[in-house]
Amino acid sequence: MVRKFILFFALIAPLSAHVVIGYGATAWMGPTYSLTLPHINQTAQTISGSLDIALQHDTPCDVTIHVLRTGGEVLTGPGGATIATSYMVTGAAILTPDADWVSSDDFRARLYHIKTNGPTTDEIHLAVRGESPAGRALPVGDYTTSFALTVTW
Amino acid sequence: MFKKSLCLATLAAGLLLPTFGRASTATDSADISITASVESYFEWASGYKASDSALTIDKDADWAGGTGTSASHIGKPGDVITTTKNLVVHTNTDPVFTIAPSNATSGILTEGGTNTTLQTSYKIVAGSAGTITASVAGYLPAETVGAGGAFDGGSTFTLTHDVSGLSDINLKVQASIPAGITLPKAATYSTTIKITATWS
Repeated sequence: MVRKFILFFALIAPLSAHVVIGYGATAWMGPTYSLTLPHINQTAQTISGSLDIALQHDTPCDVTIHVLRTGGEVLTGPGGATIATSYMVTGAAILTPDADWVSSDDFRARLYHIKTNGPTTDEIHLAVRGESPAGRALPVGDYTTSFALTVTW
Repeated sequence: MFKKSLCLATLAAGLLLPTFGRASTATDSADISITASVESYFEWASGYKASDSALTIDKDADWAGGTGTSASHIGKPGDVITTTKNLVVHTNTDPVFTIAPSNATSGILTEGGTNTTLQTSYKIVAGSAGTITASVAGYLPAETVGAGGAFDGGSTFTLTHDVSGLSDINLKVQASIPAGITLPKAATYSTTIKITATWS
């Protein structure tokens, strides 16, 4: 009887351990987030907006940018026309938050280290800015980005 | 004995497996969708905006075709002088241009002291980027009231904009001695007009 109990415990232990680890795991609370910026209706116009993104985690982790198409970090519209796009990521949990706007090229290569241990839910503030060019008009239409924030732990 | 060993091995594996799981890299992704919309818009390039300096056609530098002391001056009956002023626009739509007088000279080149006038005509043609479709072909006389006149509401010039968002148009003005007048006063003649762009 005792042997059977020990055998049962030995078999159930791995499953229990996984369940414990699964509880409080690292994950975005979204997992999809949408932001609609103000309309552009003149040259040299700057528009901006922001998203608060909640990240649940139980260990320090890293956030990186993964584009889902070539140039996915840039607001891209009809015929491949683009709006100059920049970003600023801030939040109390980020070891080195952005102090200023980051160009889309630099943003794509950024790594944001989340310094808190958790388990906790931290808020990451993603600000986005678009600028229409000065010497010409952009084609009429909708311009979109296509990227994901990936947390690694 | 064998069962005991099996139990211990299973127990050890059960305790170690979670440790191995934690040591491996795990990821989770959040898709971010950002959208901005660009509306139809039109702007005169710097220098032609109402808030900036007005576009000036200079009496000496800009005209051509005359036989006076310079090609910019009318020197005899039959002389027709013309000028072309390039206007750059930033637009992603196809605006319609109309011309209208903007002072008491009614868009007709006028000598201030005597109110003597020159026959004055206008048209807008395409520049290097974009095309123009005029509702009435040729120069449109400022003196003509109604259809076919430069300032008639039906006299329009529609720009088909260049896809680059940068287009330009040419305002062309023509001046000559009115019929029936052989010796107009030697003087400087001037007028003021405005060009209005309408778009949707």
